[in-house]
Amino acid sequence: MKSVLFLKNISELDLLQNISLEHEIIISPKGISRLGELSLDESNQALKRCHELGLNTLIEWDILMTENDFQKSRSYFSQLHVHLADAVRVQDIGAYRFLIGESEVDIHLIIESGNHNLVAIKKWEELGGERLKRIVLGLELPKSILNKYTQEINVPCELQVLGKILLFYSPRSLLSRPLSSSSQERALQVSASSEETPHKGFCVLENNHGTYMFLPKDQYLLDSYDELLQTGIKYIRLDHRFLEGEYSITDMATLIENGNTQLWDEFKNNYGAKFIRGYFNVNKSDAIFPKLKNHRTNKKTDSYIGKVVDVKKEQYLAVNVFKKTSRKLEVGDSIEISSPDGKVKRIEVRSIKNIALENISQVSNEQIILIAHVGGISVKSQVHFL
Amino acid sequence: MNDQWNPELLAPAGSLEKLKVAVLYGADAVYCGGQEFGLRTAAENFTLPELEEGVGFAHAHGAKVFVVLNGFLHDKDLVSLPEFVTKLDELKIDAVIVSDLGVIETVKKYSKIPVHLSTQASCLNIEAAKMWKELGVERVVLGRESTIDEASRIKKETGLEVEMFVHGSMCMAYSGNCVISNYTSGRDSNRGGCAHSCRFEYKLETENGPVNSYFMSSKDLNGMELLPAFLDAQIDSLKVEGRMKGHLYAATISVNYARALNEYRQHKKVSPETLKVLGEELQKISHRDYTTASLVNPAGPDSVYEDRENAQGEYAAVGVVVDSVKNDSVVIEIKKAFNKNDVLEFMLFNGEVVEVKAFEIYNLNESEEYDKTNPGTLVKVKTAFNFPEYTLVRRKLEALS
Ligand code: SF4
Repeated sequence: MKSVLFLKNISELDLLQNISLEHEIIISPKGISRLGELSLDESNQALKRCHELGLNTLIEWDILMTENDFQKSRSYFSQLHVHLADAVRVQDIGAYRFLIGESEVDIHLIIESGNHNLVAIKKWEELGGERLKRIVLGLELPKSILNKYTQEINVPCELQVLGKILLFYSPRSLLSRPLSSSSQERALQVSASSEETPHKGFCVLENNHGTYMFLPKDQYLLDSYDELLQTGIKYIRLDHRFLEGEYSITDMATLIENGNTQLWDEFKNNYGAKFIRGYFNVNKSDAIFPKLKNHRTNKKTDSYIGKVVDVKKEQYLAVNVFKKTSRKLEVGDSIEISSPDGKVKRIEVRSIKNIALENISQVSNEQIILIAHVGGISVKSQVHFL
Repeated sequence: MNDQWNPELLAPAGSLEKLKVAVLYGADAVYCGGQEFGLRTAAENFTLPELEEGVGFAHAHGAKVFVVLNGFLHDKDLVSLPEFVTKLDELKIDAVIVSDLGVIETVKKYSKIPVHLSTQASCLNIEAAKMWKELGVERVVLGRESTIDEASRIKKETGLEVEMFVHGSMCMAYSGNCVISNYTSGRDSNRGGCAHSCRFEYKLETENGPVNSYFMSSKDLNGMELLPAFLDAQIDSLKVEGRMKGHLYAATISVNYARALNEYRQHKKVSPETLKVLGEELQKISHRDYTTASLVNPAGPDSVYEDRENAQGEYAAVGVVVDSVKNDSVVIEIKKAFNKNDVLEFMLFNGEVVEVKAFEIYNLNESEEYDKTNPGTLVKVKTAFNFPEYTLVRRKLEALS
């Protein structure tokens, strides 16, 4: 596996000469990169320096753009020394199409948000053709899925193995008001704790592109290095930009070179914030869905008659009749009534009254009907043909 | 403006009943979810027979039905999708609303249903819209960060139908780019598990000490005053958020936007007076403070709602008419209790209101007369007016207290 590192700011430029050529360097220009801190000049300076040193460089263009922003970004992009870069990394599908059609640079497609199925990923790959050189996969994919995807995707895949976990990306300035700041330039950063849940210590950052919130615990997969190898991931990304403590690009390079597990343990032990493996082992974020629904109140499809909407003890059950019943309910039919708390009653319908209190033998266009009261049955119970 | 221009009002339908309410109160189209593949897992959602009934009802009233399949699906979710899509095609729904390219590919492979790109895909610029068009999409629901002006340019440059949100709650994040719930509640927000953590109060540790704030809760969108701009830009569909909201919301939003659009259809413009009156109607329902968000300029810091609860509306739904006995009585399903002799407001489908004093309230077989009612029950209120099914009944909140 090759590693991908960030040039955090221009002061790290001098450190690049110590970086081995086996690493790739991401240059994040402030104008088009979400968390970028390099000005246009600094970005070009960095591209030139990396080129001189023979380092592979990647321009990060990962903001999402409205049409107005897109026009500005295009113009900004045109001022970058793109010819010195080895690839441009994009998430916005508009930027992807633009690069395919109007440039010759290689492309890395970032599909870290959404994109959890191979059908979609293969199609994105097809659209990029020869120009697509890498797919950056999301942290929500567990190793079993990564393993499958790397076999099916023709271009190499990349995964973040160290760094903050992004929880949201908003175009809005969410901090300037509560922090009473009117500065356009200064990035704002705070720690936020929920007053309504036990979650504490989210890192929240606002900059020229919007606001971002990160999980209090950071992604760390270096101690799963062998498993990562087995998944077929070809590039691993180490993002030191918002780690607790003063880590530099060379620290990251040293950390990953030679597979020094002792160094990894040391780093992990010294690190302030807690690390997690995220969804690398398993992703069960849909396990709760069945519990969000009350299956007893989920209407069955074929024998459904309607639901009980009113109950008068020892007098009647009022049933709101579903218009698309498989057949019309008649006196003499056997029905099953199931209550939301699980009681099931089976009865024969002895009489049906419409809302004008006339006896009817068959339900035709009635919306509400009255049948005899059944003990234990409450409102929202479902009525089905037996 | 083009004489033929006829924008669509697209309303949410969280249940079959709300679908009927929205259509009867003037929506030109409704969107609803099936039992799977959408983003409103906790909503009632539609079974296939309900969907069949909903489509029949909407089509009989000249309205369209779009089914939302806008989750970002995992491989295993895609397995059962073809069967569902085939059934939707048989039901003759008018479109599916999709975010995931895998779902688009599946829908195209197994049906002829038109595909609308969901706002979840955060399609925001011309190049992106062109890409989605090449992928088979007929309409884009633009991300809520787009201005009306940008939307107009996207429409002109791509030839795609363009849909924009005009009203309702909003995510503060780029749609599809928020996974707070995934990591804090173990629920995938991109498959319907959002726990609405952005509505919570947070303590921010600042240089000047801690500050408590609802710093990421967005105000609600209200585009009524900008309707002329939507119409000038020939935005194809004006969408209202709110499948989880109640009947009064569905009716009030539908009828007021429909009234504005009807005036436009008749007179080729909507007068400022009408916009003012209808805008006041929208204040009457429960909502967070309103904002025009990014419809004109990118949403600023004042687009954040700094409170937990919605502002109470002026009115509450006390019930829905579910049946009637001609010239004698209406049956009301009670949502909020009222008493004998209270004045009820029956909201007609054209937005007009008829006041009825509840002189006589009975249980359904008229064996008992009530002085007061209970939510969750049905009562008969004697009246000579013949209010049709799904007529909303409301009361002023101060009158209720
Ligand atoms: S938490 Fe808020 S911003 Fe995030 S997906 Fe849910 S509603 Fe949207």
